[in-house]
Amino acid sequence: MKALASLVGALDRGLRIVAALCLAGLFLLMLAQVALRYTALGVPAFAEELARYAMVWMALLATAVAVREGSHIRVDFVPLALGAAAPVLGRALEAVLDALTLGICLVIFWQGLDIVSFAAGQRSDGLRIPMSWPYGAMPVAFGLAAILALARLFERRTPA
Amino acid sequence: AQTITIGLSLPENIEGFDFVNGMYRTFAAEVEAHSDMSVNIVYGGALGNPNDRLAQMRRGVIEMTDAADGNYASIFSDIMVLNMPYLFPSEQVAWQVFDGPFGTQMAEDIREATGIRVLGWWESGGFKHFSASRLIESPADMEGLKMRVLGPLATIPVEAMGASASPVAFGELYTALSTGVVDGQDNSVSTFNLIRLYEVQSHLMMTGHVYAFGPLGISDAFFSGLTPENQQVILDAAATAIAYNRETSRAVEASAITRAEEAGVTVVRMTDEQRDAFRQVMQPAAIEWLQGNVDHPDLIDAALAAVAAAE
Amino acid sequence: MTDTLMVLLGSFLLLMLLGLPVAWSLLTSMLAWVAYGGQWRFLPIAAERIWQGMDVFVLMAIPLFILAGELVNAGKITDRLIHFANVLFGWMRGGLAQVNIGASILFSGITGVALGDIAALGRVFIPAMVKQGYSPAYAAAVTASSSIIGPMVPPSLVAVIYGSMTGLSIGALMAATLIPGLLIGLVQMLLVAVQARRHNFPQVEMDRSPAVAVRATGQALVPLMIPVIILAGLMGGLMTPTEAGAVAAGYALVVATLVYRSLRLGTLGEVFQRSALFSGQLLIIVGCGAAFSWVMGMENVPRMVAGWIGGWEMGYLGTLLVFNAILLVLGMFIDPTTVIILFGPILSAAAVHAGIDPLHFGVIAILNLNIGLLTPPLGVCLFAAERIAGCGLGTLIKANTPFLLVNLAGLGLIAAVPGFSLWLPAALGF
Ligand code: NA
Ligand code: NA
Repeated sequence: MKALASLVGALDRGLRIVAALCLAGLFLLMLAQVALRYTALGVPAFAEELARYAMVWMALLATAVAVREGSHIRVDFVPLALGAAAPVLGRALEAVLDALTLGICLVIFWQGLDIVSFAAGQRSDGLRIPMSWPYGAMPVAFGLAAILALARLFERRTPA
Repeated sequence: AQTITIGLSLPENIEGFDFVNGMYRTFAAEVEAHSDMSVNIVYGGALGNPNDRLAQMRRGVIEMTDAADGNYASIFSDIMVLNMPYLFPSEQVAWQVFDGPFGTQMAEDIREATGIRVLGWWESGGFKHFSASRLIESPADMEGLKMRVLGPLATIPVEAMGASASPVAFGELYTALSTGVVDGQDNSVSTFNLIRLYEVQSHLMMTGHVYAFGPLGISDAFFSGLTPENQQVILDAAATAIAYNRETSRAVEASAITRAEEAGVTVVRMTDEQRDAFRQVMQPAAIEWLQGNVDHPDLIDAALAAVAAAE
Repeated sequence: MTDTLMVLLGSFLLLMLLGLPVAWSLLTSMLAWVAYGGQWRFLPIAAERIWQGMDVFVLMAIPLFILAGELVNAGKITDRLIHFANVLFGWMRGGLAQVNIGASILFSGITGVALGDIAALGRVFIPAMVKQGYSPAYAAAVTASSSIIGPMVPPSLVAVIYGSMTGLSIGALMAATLIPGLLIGLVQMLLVAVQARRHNFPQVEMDRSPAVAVRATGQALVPLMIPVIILAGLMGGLMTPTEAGAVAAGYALVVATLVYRSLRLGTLGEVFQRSALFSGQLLIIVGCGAAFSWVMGMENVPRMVAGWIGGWEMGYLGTLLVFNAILLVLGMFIDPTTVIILFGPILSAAAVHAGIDPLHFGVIAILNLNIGLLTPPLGVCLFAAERIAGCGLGTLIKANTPFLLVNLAGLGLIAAVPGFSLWLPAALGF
């Protein structure tokens, strides 16, 4: 159980680092795009595309982290009011919402695999790389998000 | 009865683009008049970008969409051969090549590779022309200009002329041109007018370097599931729609040029010699790139031969 | 309305009310729509639209301006700005709240994206206002509310998109939104002045001798160069608005690490992680919103609305009132860009039919949709400000209500007096 918890912790940290690296990548690419326009080199045609893909990877990995944290943007009147009025019901509602999140992550993970295999023969406009690479962010991120959502459900049942 | 859902890019009532929306409306009217099938046109990119809708059509989630040449290139690289600069000397020659054996064979190849049946080839506003903040009369005049073009096949010929190519998102193009982030761009005259580039560009050179077109695609799984009678209705409707498209596109371009001139743009007509000078720099650079980046490089010579035969 | 559309909208509203994250509410309601209609072949589209909805170049401004804001904050550049602002405005009651709005007006020249404004300025002003004794909710309300000035003052991506979709001159549109944008800033400042007197907002006790003032100005000069550099870069054609986000972040990075030496390498990693997480929380809503919008497209909602409108004959004033109501409702659920792409041409054409100047209507539409960023259920600017303040959405919505009302009053004024919109473009010869 303890080993599992530390594994989840390591996964969480790893995801944060990779997402941060994606952000650093898109930041440097966009800076380079401004700078290179004034050099003889010109702007490589793939810069814009690579930056976009880095953004999508970053956003999706961050989405998985936010599932674990429970920090996704939401309207919280009802859970807060219910939690204050009837703590048991409030906790039950949160558990149901977490379970629903897990279910959604699993569905999108499964459909994400589908879009990756569907895009396998397709190449990107600028880099001419197989589109399964950028699309791969979907199953990877939602698969990991599902694991983290499950971890969150367990953590909720056994408060530290 | 079947419903044909068509996802389009532009809003329903947009001026100067009847060669796309009107083509699909013509198609819809013909289909609904001659069969019990119904057509649901979804305008304004409500179903996603062209590339996204193309994927939806391949999946059979929607039946048709107005994705153009560049969108098909991501799922069928050979089509880029037809984007070679100065491949077609005129629209009429282009139509002959598309409607002839070369176009028919490519349509069949697209069907096998992507599951999209190409019912015919439509014109997306005609040839693309360079516009810039100054007069350009020869490839040498491009030296040092910052040009907004997208994708390697457009970038490499521009760089061969000594210009620097810069990708700018379509939504930022107007601002980028007005502030001078880039000096010029290339599009059909209709697109030039759509985002009011005549406000921020002084010169429009009728270089006509690339022909903009689109395959009139339909989900092959859907088409194959129709009765022979309904298949014939679709084929006839497509023929009528494409005839409408080509006639309208020619008329629209003519009035679009007048519109740009009225807005104060200097429209520069090019002689055959001037265009040939552009061809001599742009075409070899493009061919070299195509040879390494399409699945069947032999199609390059085949396309050139088909054009020669049509001339 | 079809029963499938009711399933979509009903389940979305219900789930969001129950507290399911906005992104998952959008997605689950799409899945409910698929299941109810038995259209299982549509299922992969959910995943496809999420990815494609985020794979959009101009969205890059969001993480870049968030990063710039985080860097400015972590590098303690904020402190110097606030010190300077205190010297300038601290003597007023509610001085820092006024500075927050004033900074947004200045900052609108940098970004055309309201979220960029919150990311860059919210991180500065919300903690600073809280430190001075304002409630976190009030600080977030001022920040969110003033952020909508950004898309009104050029450069503005929304204006570019509106012009492209309706065929209006983009230059004229940008000129037309300028004065209304400043006017919205003014009514917000008036509100703060009134609230400051009523609630006895803090003044800043400090030494205001000339020596202190000069030193504060000098210290603030380096960070104040951020908008100047970006504005000069944009006007001088060195960069696009999206690239400006990267330049702002780059400048902040250089200032914080090399000039002030206030940012350590270890902290830098945290800054990038925090920015990535915050960006992800916003972008996933954009992606799931694209999936939701796709269903609205399949249900042909835009045409349905156009059909309703086509059947009405309401005259000048009636059209203005009804269209404003429609835009407000749409803006509550869908982001401005999407609304403009889907409904801009329809509404614009109908407005012209009713005798409204298309440029005037464009200004109304852009302002109206931006006010939608401040209203629940889908008020992205509220969400973003809440993220920074951590005050809970409920209290924020309450604190924001007076601002919402003055913004709506401003909208009414701008709608009633076409001159606010039309004078400048005419003067500039558009
Ligand atoms: Na702006
Ligand atoms: Na502000």
